[in-house]
Amino acid sequence: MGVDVLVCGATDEEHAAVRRLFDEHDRVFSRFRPESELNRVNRDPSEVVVLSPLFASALRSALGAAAATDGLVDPTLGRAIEAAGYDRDFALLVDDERPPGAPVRGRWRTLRLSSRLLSRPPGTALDLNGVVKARAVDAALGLTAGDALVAAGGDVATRGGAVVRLPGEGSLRLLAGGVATSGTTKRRWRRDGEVQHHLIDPRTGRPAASRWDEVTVAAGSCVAADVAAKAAFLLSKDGPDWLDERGLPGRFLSGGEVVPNRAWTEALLEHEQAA
Amino acid sequence: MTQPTRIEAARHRAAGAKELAVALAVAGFIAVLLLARAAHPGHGTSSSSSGGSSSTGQSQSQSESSDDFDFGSSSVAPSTGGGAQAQTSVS
Repeated sequence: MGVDVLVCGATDEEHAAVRRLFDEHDRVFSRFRPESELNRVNRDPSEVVVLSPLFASALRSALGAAAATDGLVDPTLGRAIEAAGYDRDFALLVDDERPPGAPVRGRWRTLRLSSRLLSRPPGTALDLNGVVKARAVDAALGLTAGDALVAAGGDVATRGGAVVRLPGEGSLRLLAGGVATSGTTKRRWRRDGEVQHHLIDPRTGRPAASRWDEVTVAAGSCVAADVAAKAAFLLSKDGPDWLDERGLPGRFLSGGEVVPNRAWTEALLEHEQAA
Repeated sequence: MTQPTRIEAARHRAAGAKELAVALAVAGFIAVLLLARAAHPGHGTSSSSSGGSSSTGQSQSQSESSDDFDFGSSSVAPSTGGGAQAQTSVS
């Protein structure tokens, strides 16, 4: 998946199982492996395709995330991310004088998933990377029996507690659940002199414009934290309140300024007062 | 007006019985057809009256498509001491 994976508290067998899990996710969901299931599904001209159990499960989760965020986290942005120029492994991406392609808005509501059967309009390109990495972190934690920590590419899940260093400065103790950060301080490139990034706003089909550089969220699982962080980032000034309405602690970073939402402040204050 | 003969009366009764048998057969066939359609999981017009899950094919797809997504709740506290450490960041 192109990220470092950290596993603490696992046995050798559990480590091996976690490695196999991430390898499998890379084989199935990579946008940059021509033979991945994701690319096979996207290339398939049939209106209805049969998915593997893993792919169907991830898509079901992605559709659930889309419903929970009113479509802000959308699994149908494969064409949009390519139109922005992210069409190869990021390490190979260079600034390009060509303008970006035409925007492609999200259309998750056009997908129909029944068990492992997916029907979608012609030309739909899926990109499940909005949920796949964080889901893999949660699944990896599930492969461990005792207290453990799994982190991959900035997404963290723990059972038994861990110290999580935060963007900018500071840290918190995550006792249970997951923490994830979304933002645009990495994976940026230029098209026709204009900065592009990987967080596509499904409402415009273009890289999102947000007042935040990075958003960190803690939730009941890593994938929930990741989805919420993306949604809060895309909602820009409305992001803190959106998280508060769901009782999710969020920490927003903008130009070096740290802005916690109410739930973040209260969660940390609650523990300080209890201590 | 002449009375029907016993043979004509018997023919009349036989014709009535035949029509009844045909009507019952048709009604039975239609009943079996409707039951079979109602029981088929992919049938698009039947629905549960219990107020629970819907049995329409369309609704089944939509409900599967938009599985409940639970944000859950984490437990966070100010950072203290050591233990396992990780960094959350944009990847």
